[in-house]
Amino acid sequence: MTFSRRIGERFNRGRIAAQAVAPSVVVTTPLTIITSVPVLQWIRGDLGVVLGTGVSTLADQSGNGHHFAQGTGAAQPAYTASDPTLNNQATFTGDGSNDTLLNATMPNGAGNWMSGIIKTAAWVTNKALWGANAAPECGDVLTISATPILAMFNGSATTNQNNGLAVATWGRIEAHYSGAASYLKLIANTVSSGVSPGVATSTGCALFSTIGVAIGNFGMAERVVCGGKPTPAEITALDAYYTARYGPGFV
Amino acid sequence: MANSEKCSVGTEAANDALNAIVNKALGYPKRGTPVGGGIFPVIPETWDGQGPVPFGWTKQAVAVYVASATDSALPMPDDVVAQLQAGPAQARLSGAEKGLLTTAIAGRAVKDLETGGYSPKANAVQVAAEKTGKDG
Repeated sequence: MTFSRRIGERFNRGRIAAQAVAPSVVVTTPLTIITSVPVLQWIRGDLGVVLGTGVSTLADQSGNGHHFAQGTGAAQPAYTASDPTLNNQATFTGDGSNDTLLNATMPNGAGNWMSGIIKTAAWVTNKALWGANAAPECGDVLTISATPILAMFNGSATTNQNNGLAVATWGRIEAHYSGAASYLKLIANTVSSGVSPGVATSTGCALFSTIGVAIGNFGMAERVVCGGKPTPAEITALDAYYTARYGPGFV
Repeated sequence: MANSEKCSVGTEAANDALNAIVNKALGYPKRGTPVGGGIFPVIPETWDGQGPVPFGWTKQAVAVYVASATDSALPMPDDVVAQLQAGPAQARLSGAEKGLLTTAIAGRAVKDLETGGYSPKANAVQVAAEKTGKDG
């Protein structure tokens, strides 16, 4: 018995030594890409999802605990674990009627930089993609026309209108709330910028809804919110991560 | 865009009571099913339905929409009604509750909840930032 244990101990020491020198695998995520500014919130359709009727909880993967939840079954976005329209990645979709996910803790509004993977089934005037969950209204991205136009709103006026994403097409979005440096970017290089959407801030945010705006009929696969604008190199790297993950059909 | 639904229309108190019957029939509150990897908040194994909705739980099938204390609407779409009329849901109700539910279903009216000045009753989400794991 004693002899066997000694053999085992020697063997185990060897295995531990081998593991110690093996290269570790680093998974590329927004958290590994963006380090120059704090990542306040990161959600993705295949991580931290709890299903009830639809998505009842969508957990923040940033480590900050800014989770989304919806306690009414009829208002939970539909979940697609493997969406054939987005490289078989997980997505969730609001019905444009009452589906919304709410968070009560995240600092929202001025200074924030947001990026996401979205689509809409139809463009309808005054529908929310995301925004505030408590007054004052801020941090919003919403439709302002029945044509494909999204705009920013941060308590003063809709600004930086952008029509760069076609109906029923998955694409990337960036929005930065920072005075005259504010911009709304859709797909790879369609940028609307230069007009301040206001400087309001609030605590708490919402997906597919905000105060005073109808609930939006959007789909989403991922969203990152930072407490400032990442460096150009980080944004380029994030775009590369999106392209690698969401692949063909994604613009 | 209009948001018209078949609803039970009445006072807020009456629709709160009706919503309690609907939730009883359908077995709410219900604990959800975690899918995928990553960080999950703490999801309690049990919940008595009181206070803020814990992460991972669904409190109710549908929410009461309120314009005033005397004007409220409880959406009862056909798919929910089909579930309510099925055997398992009926088996959870008393005779009196079945009667109230049947009357409410028969009396549904189409309401536009978006343009009618209605707001869903608050869906308080848990504020605690508890975490149980790390992204891999």
